[in-house]
Amino acid sequence: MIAIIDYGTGNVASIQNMLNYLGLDSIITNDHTKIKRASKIILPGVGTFDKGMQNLHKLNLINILDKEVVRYEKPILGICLGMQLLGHGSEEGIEQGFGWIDMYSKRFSANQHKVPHMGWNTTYTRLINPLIEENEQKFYFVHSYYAETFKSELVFLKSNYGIEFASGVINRNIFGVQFHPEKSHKYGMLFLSKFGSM
Amino acid sequence: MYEKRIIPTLLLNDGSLVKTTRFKKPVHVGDPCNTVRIFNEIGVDEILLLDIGKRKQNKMGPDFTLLKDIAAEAFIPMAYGGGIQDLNDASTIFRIGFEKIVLNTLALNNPQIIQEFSAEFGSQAVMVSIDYKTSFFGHKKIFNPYANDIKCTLREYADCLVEAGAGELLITNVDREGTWLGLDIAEELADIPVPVIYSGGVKGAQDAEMNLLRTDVDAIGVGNTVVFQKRNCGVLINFPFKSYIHA
Repeated sequence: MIAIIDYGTGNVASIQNMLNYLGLDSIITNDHTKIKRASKIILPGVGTFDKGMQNLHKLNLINILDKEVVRYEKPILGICLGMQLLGHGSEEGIEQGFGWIDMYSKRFSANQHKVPHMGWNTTYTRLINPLIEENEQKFYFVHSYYAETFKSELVFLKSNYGIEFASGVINRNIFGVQFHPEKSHKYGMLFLSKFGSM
Repeated sequence: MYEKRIIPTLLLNDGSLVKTTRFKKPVHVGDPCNTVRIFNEIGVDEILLLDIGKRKQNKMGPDFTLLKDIAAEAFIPMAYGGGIQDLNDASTIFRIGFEKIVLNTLALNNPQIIQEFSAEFGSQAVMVSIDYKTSFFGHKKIFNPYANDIKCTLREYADCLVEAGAGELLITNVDREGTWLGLDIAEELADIPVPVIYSGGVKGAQDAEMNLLRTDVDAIGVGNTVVFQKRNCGVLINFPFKSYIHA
């Protein structure tokens, strides 16, 4: 059972639609017991950094997620804003993130390309990982901020949009992707089925 | 590589899909769930759904039950516009599986309201639709029969929206919409710093692809070409363009 965390900012239904299509059991929830019982966690996200963290605080989800992910090493996949929340913080706001991955989110500068970065783009695989075998894959992106990290061992996918940025990060059982696998058609299906069968 | 988008723009009218000509004469083109399922199978890059029906005039708000069924058919990005009145409506749209909302009348009556939406959901999720007609003297005038008196120019309004936090603009030439006369690009919007989708009048693959070569065109909305077999022919859900998914 995959717990899709429901914290008020997220395209939760589209993630569940794709998991259903793939035959993977999931539940949209913010209930602590259900999160504890789940074998994996997906942290979705549409919205602003501060709003996301504030909602997680309001629902008392910070400690429980910290325990499940860090102590019990449950696999977690952060999607879009959900990936950025895995880091320390963001230029977008003042709230602190989970801090599980050593990164900080910054805004794209509008000098070369329009912001938000919106549309299909390519990811280039940089590390051997359980989720993508292909060297290049296509995914759908919608974001104005990107996660910056100086540790290449944390970056398993890279993409270009004016600058090269981390489109996928990894730290043991913790995964974050900047794109929306649930909206990336067959490529997203392949990706989420790998996460589901990990 | 970053790719530009060609986006089927589907019009909902009282629960079914229609195609209009110059915003009039709606022709029935099919069931929305089935049509979206076909586009998903074809593998288009994105879908834009706009409710132009009476719900909007009667301020009934979006038809969430229908939208939920439609969203379940697509594993591609979807945007919805039509009758969104407040943050709650928008929040429901996102929850049921759309990535973006499209605002028109609400924004035109009060551009500052965009700030509330972009602060809550992020500007990448907030698209504003601007329809325009060209006057006898060649001036582009914003067109919206439901909005209060409109005084600003296309450019002034677009600047104001971007300032307020709109993440994307959908620009439609009403005089061309549904006419197969070819796409019209508003030169005055050339250096707008957010992605701009142009729609209205696309003739076919060549017209779309030529216009996508322009640096000021980020995406193109298509209607007639994807719901009709060809000009003056019957309904055929198809996609005569390159899609990135299959490239």
